[in-house]
Parts: sequence; structure tokens; C-alpha cells
Amino acid sequence: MGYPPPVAVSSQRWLPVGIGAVALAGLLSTLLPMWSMSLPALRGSLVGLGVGVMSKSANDIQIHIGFYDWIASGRPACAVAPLALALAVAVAVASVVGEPDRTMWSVAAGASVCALIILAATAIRPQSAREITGPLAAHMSRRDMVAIQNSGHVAANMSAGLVLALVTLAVVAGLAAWQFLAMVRQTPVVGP
Amino acid sequence: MTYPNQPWQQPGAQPGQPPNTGGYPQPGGYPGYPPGYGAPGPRINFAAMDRTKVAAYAVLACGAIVLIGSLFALYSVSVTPSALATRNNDAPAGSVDVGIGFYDIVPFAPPIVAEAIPVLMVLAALTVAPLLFGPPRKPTATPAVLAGTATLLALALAISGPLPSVDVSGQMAAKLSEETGGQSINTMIDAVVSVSPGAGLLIAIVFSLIGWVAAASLIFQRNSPAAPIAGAFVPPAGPTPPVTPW
Repeated sequence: MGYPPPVAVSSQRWLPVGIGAVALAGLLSTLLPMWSMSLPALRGSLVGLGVGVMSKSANDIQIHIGFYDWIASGRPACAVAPLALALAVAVAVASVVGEPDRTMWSVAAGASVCALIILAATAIRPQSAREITGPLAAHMSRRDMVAIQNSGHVAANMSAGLVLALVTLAVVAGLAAWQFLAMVRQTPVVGP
Repeated sequence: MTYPNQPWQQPGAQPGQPPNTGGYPQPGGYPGYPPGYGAPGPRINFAAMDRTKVAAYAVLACGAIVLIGSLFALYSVSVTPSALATRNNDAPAGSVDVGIGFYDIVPFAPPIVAEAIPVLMVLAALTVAPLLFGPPRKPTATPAVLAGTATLLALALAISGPLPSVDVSGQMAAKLSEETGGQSINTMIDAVVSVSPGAGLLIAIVFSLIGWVAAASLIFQRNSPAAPIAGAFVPPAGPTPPVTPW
């Protein structure tokens, strides 16, 4: 019967609590807006025609889209971040209340990495690319081409919620993986 | 889970004896006590096992209730056109009440996070079922994690509404405030559209929280024999085999 070195003991103490705190902060940050979209960029598109945008200057109307808004919350990119962060909080609570369980930490780290990949890829490229080639491009007027290329093309900027969610997901993934590896390393000491 | 053949004598002989709160019997007796000490093991163990079963039944019931409750509204939205404080608002009184469900498709999809809540609670109920219907085994942390995730997501959904926020600036804002008498567009939206958590979401919050507490009490009972060893974080050197999940 041996005890792990004192460094491991202290890191085992604060690490679950720290991961839980970071994940809870990330979950609260998902309540902030995710994207800000300026509505004049919708001019010429179907949505813009439906809304009836008549503003003259840029950035007249800013719509702040959140993780839970009806505009975008049906998309997986909006759902994975709250799911992974809430899972990390629940794992931290369970490991503080109960016995440390390294499988839970591996699940939390994996979920955070998955959410980070989906969310970061969405943040890098949120809209489809389009291109008009061939004789069709020659036949179309310049105005039509601009309309097709810009339809649905909104000037969407990342907001605080998305940035904070990305940062906290990265931190949670790293710390949970560290916790998992620390527990793996301790297992031969603890084991029979 | 009881050991009916385990001998025990003088159940009330040691009044200062701390009661054993272990959720499951430890094979081989109690390592801290000398043999013949007479800790009232079987009877207290029966009570503790009963508490485990009660907690497991509570998680099971909460999963079923959240699943049924998710058929009710996620948000209840009431639109009152006559509440708009503009100059020429001739809308008749009355309101349109919309109940947005957990599983709607038309006119728009509710958050995926909302649909995850009943799924997570049902999974928590299923992972707790082996404690009730199978041979005796250790409670795991899985039901607590699943129910906790569901609780946190339900709280986040209740705090944040389904409406995006809108800012108007520039010429449009000047024109709008001239028409509406200086109100911002968000107060106008708030006056006309009132969003509150629906019955299904409230049921989900309450019963997933109860399920989380019950599931956490399962693993808390499991861990409580380790509590006297305060300085060490590792499981005690008792006969309990170390947990190696895989």
C-alpha cells in the first residue's frame, strides 16, 4: 500500500474544482450573443426582401444571435458547446461528491474536443462559397452575379459568447485530459 | 445485498458508535474494528441499501416525468399586438399564445439542447435501472453526470429566451425613435412579445434537479466510508477493490 506523491495529491484536489469552475463560466458565457449580424448586408437577398430593408448606411440594424435563439439553435454548432460544457460541470461535481472516476474525465475531454472542432470550424467558415463559371457567367448581367454571390451572405461577426465558449472549451479539454492522464499514471500506485 | 448469515451481536451496545453509512456492504467486515466489536452491520446496511433503492427509484421516476413533461411547451410565447405603444396602433385587444414544444418542426426548430434534456434524463434512468433490477452492484457516477448535464442545460434554456436581441443605430434609429416616441426596439419587442418558460421546461428543471440530487446521493453514499481518512485522496486500503473502469 503506497500513497501517490504529494504533488499528485494536491493537483487531484484542485483540478476537478478548477475544471468545474471554468466549465461553469463557459456555460454562463454561452448566454451571451454568439454572432452579430448586420442586416443591411441582407440587401438583395431573399431574407432582405422579406424583411423589407430600406436602410441607407451600413450597420443600421444589428441582430445578436445567441446559442439558444430560434434563429440558429437548431444547428449542431450551437448545441455542442453548451452540451460539452454542462457535461464537464456535471463530471466535476460528480468527482468532487463521489469517488474519482477517470472514465468520466476521458468522456468530458472527448466531448470538449468534439465541440471545439465543430465550433471552431463553424467560426472559421460559417457560410457556403459560390462561384459562377462558364458561358453562364458571360450571359448573366453583373447585377445578377452580385445578387447570387451575395444571397445569404451576411456580414456575421463573432461575438463575445462564441469567443469565450471557444476559449473555455479549449481550457476544459486540456485540463480534463490532464486529469485523465494524471489518474492513469496513479493507477499502478493505487492498484493492488 | 444483505448478508443474513453474518453474525452480529448486541445491536445497541455501543451508543457512541458512528453508524455505518456505506451504501453497500463491504465484504469481509469492517477493517477498522477489531473482530467481535459488534457493529450493527446487517441492520444498518439494510437501511442504507433501502436508501440506495429509494434514490435509484427517484432517478427513475424523474427520468419518466421529464420525458412525459417534455411533451408540454418549452416556451410559452404570448404576442399582444395592442400593447405596442405607437401613435396609430389600432390593433384589437387580445393576444396570440404560442406554445413552442421540445420537438417542433414547424415553424422553426427548437434548440437541440432542449431535445437533449429528456434524452439525458432517460439515459440517467436507464443507467440507474441495474441497481434496482439486477444483482447488487456499486452505483456509478454516470446517472449523476447525465442528470446534472440535463439540469444545467434546462437552467440555461430558462435563463436565455428564444429571441435574439436587436440593436438599431444610425439613420434607422433616428427614424424609428421619431415614429415611436423614443423607445428602443428591444423594449418594443418586449412589450409586444412576452416569453416565459413553458410547463415542460419548468417540469424539466424541477425534476432533473431532483434526479441530480438523488443520483449524487448514490455516489455520495458510496464514497462516505472513505471520509475518515482525511489526509489521503486515494481510496482507503480496505477490502474495497479499486475502481478500474476499463
